Amino acid sequence: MNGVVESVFVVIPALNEATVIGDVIAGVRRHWPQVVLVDDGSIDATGAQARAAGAHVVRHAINLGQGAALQTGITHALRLGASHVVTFDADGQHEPADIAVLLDALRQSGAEVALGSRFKGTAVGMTWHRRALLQTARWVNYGFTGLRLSDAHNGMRALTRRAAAQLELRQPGMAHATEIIAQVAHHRLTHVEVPVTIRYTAYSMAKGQKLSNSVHILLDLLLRGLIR
Amino acid sequence: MIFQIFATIVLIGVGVYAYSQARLSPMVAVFTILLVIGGEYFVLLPDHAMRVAAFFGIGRGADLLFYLWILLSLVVVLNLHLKLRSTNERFAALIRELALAQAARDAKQDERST
Repeated sequence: MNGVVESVFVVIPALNEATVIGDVIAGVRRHWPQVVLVDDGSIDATGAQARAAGAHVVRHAINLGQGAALQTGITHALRLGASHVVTFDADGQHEPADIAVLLDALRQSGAEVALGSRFKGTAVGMTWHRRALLQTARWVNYGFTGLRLSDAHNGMRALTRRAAAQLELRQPGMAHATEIIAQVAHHRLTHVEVPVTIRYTAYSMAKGQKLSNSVHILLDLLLRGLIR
Repeated sequence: MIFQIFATIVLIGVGVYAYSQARLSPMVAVFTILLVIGGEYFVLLPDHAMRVAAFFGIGRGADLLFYLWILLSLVVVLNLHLKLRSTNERFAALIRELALAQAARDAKQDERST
């Protein structure tokens, strides 16, 4: 079991999260010691805090966006020999205990990708407009990918090494969430949805998606869908 | 007549530049030279613009040129968008490789110091 724990890499993309990142990494590392923190051009001490908390830190010289940061983290984890890659948000809204749930789901189902779902699990403190936005995103995702999921934009996912190696994220910003699902469909990777808990805090809400940003994501997806 | 001379000089300039850049982007060069020829045709023979407009069911030659201008602008914007996207992707790949190389160096240094 120890060998398995050592080869699970938790990838956390982060931008200006110095106030919370130390605690987030410490929480994850209690059970999963291998954490890759991608500092996406932060102007605060995110990278230093992450390094102090024991993460492998990869730093983008400038801000590229969460999708690009995830791809960097996944590539780094694979180069370090990851057997599984788990993606995890930096703002502290995920439960580290759910990582084991995702990995168990992979093992029990034999699937290659486990996608966290707050709508199958628990979303503490979610506002009605965020719920409406996420439900809309579900249908947009379905339109672009053909996969009908209960939660389209959950940052918690677990991938086998084979699945992670096939991902090639080209959407630099937040549209990567749909792109990941599109690639799961494109590569015919077997997947399973897993109930997870998301805990909204004033901090995570302030850092989260805005409606205006969702319009940008939609435009980006449309353009990229039309012009491949 | 003054405008025709001015437009002709500008169009010839654009055509010569497009030809000189043909090796870099042959498609764009051919497209631009065709545009220059079409533009010069309508500059020298504005009456023909009216006839072509009437053929396509557009009231005036000026309207025809306006519609063509909008369509061509959209093509140019799309082309620029694709170029920008491609550049951004290459740029992201470069930043990523630099970041990964630095991380590998940091890891080696950490190993040595422990």
